[in-house]
Amino acid sequence: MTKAWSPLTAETLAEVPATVGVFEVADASGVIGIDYAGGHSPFGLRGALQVWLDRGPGLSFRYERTNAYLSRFREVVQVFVNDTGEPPSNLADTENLPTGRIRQN
Amino acid sequence: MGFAFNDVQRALIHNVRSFVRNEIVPLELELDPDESELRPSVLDGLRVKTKQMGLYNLDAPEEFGGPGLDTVTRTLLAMEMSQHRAGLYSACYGAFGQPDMAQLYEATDEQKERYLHPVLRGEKSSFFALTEPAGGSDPARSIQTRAKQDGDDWIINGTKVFISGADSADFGLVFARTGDRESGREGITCFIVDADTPGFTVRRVIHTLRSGHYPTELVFEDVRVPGSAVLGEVGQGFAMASERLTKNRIPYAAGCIGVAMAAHRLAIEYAGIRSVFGQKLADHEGIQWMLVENEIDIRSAALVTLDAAERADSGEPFRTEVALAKIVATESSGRVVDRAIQIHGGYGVTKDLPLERWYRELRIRRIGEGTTETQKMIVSRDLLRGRYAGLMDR
Repeated sequence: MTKAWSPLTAETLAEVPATVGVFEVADASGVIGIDYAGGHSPFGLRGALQVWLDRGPGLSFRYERTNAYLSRFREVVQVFVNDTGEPPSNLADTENLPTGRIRQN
Repeated sequence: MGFAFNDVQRALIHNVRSFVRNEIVPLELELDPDESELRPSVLDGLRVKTKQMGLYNLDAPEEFGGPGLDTVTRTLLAMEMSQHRAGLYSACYGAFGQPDMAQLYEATDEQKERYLHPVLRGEKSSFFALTEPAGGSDPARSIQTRAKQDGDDWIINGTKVFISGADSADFGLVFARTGDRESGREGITCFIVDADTPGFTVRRVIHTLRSGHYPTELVFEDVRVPGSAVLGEVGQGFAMASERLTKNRIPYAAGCIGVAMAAHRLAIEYAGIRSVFGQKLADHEGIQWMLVENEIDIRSAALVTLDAAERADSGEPFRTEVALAKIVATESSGRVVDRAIQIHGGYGVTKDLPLERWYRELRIRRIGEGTTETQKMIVSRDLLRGRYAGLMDR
């Protein structure tokens, strides 16, 4: 994902579309969350990111609108794991971590 | 042709139907509507149950631990197994075992030990890398991936596209040209390539209108494999691939028919409860005719597909029958789901129901495993060259 980061605030979140898609969340240490807004997500990306906003200030985010949210989510996570050697912290202790490898060239 | 089910088939259908409706459908209420995978622990639990049913590795012959069912029976079960949201491509999420590994039944003992048996035990997964950027419908001519011999080893270079499951598989069957371009199908060899072999890269997931599935693009850069990685004989890879593609079109067609049956059932139920203009939908002639057209499409597709399966079991050539089944099943199932959506109105296109997912995925099935047009070409060639006897002359 190469889009520009935005601070995660109520104002910026209001501009996020209520569609399905994938997103990354970062704090000062780097990316801490990769997730998607899928077919069961109320208000799509906006609703999914609201959960992160409710955790507190100091986060930034970027997103992609895509109907292929599951496969794109898988791809973004696989690239992250390939680059860093470990999953983002929100997926560290979950059975839902996508398996596999993408080595972009 | 005659399809009165025997007692064994009836019992198997009943068991699979109960499994799908009691074990699989409730699970999907918690899943994302586009998801095609279950958590490993959940899948493991389901596999324990299919093993207890004696139906794990459904496609495997008895000598490899499968139930040793004929093609007709497996086709009937495929129609049942696909009757849930993700069923079209991930029948019961793989609870009945992995897709048929028929090529590996002919492998050397060492290859069987290293690849086939772990797959059958559910410990390893594989991918099948045939299609390339230059084309998929005519693989014999479009394969540009090359393998050159270097001492006892082979060195593979090339690109593959639309390869399912390669990003998480342990090994793959990779088809490469070992002869010159003019050698056509005789110059293609199948290699077993471990996924951790240096030079093998999964470059990207290819995003399609299916969300919960992961076709990938693969790159082979000086991938060195030993001579023992050749599956079968050098130059005979395309015959192996062609046989698999032909056989696979039967369960491929059956999966389409299964979801069409499920969509038809949903439409009948909804037509019986939804009222408009003072009458149930079912009381409107326009709806009744749609339901009858669904029934015609489903029965036609099922009979043509079971005919192909019966032909495969007979030991006679069945390429034409399979091509006809693939055309009829994929095209007619798309029409059935389209009508079911129309009957449901707005609800039909929501992710609350599986119809919108089936609608998208059935569109791909007119392309995958050989397009409708390629199948028509197969049938027309056989008709015009007198290879196909016709229905009444067999």
